[in-house]
Amino acid sequence: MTPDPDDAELIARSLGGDEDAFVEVVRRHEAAVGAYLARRAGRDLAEDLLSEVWVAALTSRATYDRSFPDARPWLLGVAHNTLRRHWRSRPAEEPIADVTDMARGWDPWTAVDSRVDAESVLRHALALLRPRQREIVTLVAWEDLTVADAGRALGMPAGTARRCLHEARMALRKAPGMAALLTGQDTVKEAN
Amino acid sequence: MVDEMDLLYGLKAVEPLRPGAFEAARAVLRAEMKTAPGRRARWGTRGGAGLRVAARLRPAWRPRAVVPAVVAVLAAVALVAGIVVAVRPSAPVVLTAQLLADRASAAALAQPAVNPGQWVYREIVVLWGPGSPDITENGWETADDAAFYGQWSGGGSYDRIFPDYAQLGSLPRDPAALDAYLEKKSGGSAAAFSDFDSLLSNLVLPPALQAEVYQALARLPGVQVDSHVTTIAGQAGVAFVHQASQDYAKGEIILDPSTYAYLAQADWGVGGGDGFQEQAVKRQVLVTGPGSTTPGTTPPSAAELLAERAEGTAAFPPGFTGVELVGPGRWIVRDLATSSGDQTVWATADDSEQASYVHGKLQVCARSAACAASVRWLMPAGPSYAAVDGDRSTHFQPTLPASLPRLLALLNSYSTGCAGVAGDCNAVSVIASVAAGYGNSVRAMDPLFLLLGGIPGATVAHVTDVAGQADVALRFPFSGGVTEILFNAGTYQFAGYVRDGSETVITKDVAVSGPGSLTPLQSARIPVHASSR
Repeated sequence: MTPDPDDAELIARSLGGDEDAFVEVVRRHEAAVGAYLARRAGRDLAEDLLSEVWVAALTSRATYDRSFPDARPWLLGVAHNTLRRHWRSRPAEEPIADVTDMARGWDPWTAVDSRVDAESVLRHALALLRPRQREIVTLVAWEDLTVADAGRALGMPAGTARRCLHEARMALRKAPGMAALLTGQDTVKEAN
Repeated sequence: MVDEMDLLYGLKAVEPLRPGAFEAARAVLRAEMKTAPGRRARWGTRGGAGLRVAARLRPAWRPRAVVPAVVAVLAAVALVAGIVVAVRPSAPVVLTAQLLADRASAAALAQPAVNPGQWVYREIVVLWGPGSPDITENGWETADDAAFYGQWSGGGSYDRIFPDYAQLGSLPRDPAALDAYLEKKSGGSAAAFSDFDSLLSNLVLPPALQAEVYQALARLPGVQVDSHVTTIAGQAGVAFVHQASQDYAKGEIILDPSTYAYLAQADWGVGGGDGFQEQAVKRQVLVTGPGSTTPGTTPPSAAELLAERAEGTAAFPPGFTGVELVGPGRWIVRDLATSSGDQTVWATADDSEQASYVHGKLQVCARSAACAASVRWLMPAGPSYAAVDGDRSTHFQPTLPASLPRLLALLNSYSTGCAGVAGDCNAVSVIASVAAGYGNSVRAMDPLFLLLGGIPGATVAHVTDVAGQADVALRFPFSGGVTEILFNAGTYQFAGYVRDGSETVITKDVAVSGPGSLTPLQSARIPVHASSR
């Protein structure tokens, strides 16, 4: 029995006109790419953007470096660019709810326990990072990529990615509220 | 031991996409495959056309000038680190790193010094790497990078590896000493090279320091020059080149070949890998203010400068170790010093509920309840907390308008009790209310304070507030509503406001477990006047 072809082989076949081959690559990574989008944009938007990621990947697959058998970092990179384009093109004017219906749309679990504060501090710390730093650190923490693969996803040399991750971690430690989280292990345990 | 990565792992959980979404996305992909190749060009412009991007991936894409044979022979015997430039065929000049540094330094010294609050408009082209389209970004930053405005995705503020802009003069005055200082601080010459780029690309440096940076670049180990490079924006340039080392990619700092103005920064993959990224300044001009592309070096007014500092402080609070970040339902206790006495009030972060002691009894009141009529809400009118705070599901992407004029128009559309709507009175009242009434510093994502500097007739005064603290007041020529917004004179953090002649200063702002509680939550402290206490 022949082993399944790797992603690089399937992408090569798709360049030769084999449509199913590319769809197979998509099938292999759709859960991971979907989760990547959902973590950053929420489920609804992730579902909207997923097809854009596949079409963008299809269009640029000729640039895929076939010395890498696993296409996931590349696809996450395409997803990253798709998100960036989306955010950049968001209309400047979105409907603003008035102060009278401000409670609308909030997930109740964010309101009360100490976990909320831990999460808020972390998300704020992430928001303060430079975009590249944020991407590297979340690709490693959330998408289970190696630093080198995270760099690949962002088109960044491995050395630069390592430095970027280091900078990101330093910046996270220094971010407002993080010191308390890192020393106050009790808080974290409660949260888990 | 818990570290920041462990904390991040805890946020990994996600609501999975619905199964039908995967099928739907694949169906779109299949439909795209079926379309004629001609139509696919449409996607090329969005997703990055394959060939166009592939051609940019390595140094080979850069058009090099053809070096005449006679010059090439000379080059072979030229200095080791030198590269030949044919200025005139008969007079070849060897461009060394030192010569480039000398020319760039001279050009820098010929530039006028600018005020740290001088606004700079930049258009940059960014290539993030293989598969990326070129992205053009534009926006405004002050010379000291303390305040910024516009749609920056990649640039943004410079890493604070250096002293504050005002203290850049404390860096070593000798180029070799500056190299040694940065190599030690950042860990090697390649890191120092990148730090120099950070200085050059993000700030408008004092001329003397800029000249010193060029001299220091030339002396940095491993630095050579390349006299014919082209930026991704198509500009011809000359470059300081730092060759790749074990850990770092090859890097280039590209300058204009005639004016020696900073043009671009590029770096490559280790060992000729396919990672290549570049940011090129397409246009940089000193302008009259944020939002303007009219050239001007008029120093900012005192009001504009104060607003910029307040904005910068709100975006990057200095020295905070325990700033609050709370969900909208989190209770906050505030001590208010007012013209008519001190008060202690509790409110949720989104100001939808308030509580205070009335005749010795704690009264909790929702905004919609009947008791609300007798309560003074800190946030009486304005955009919702969710709109100001940013949407947490998308990393706090703010939902207020990005453009300053639109933001101002929106804020002016709320009715805040101003006697007249002229002069942006409603907008100023809303900004004061947001700063006082909503419990989150993420509001700094929107340039609310920046708007204040441009309010017609705004002036600045040094005052002592009702709590006895030294403040800087931004005063507005309104007949009613909020006529002053107070910032701490040392930190430029928001301190309070004067509404209808009555002053309110927030002296304590702490997240607590609920109404009536005075015990700060360990991980949710809000030191509004951190430096003044």
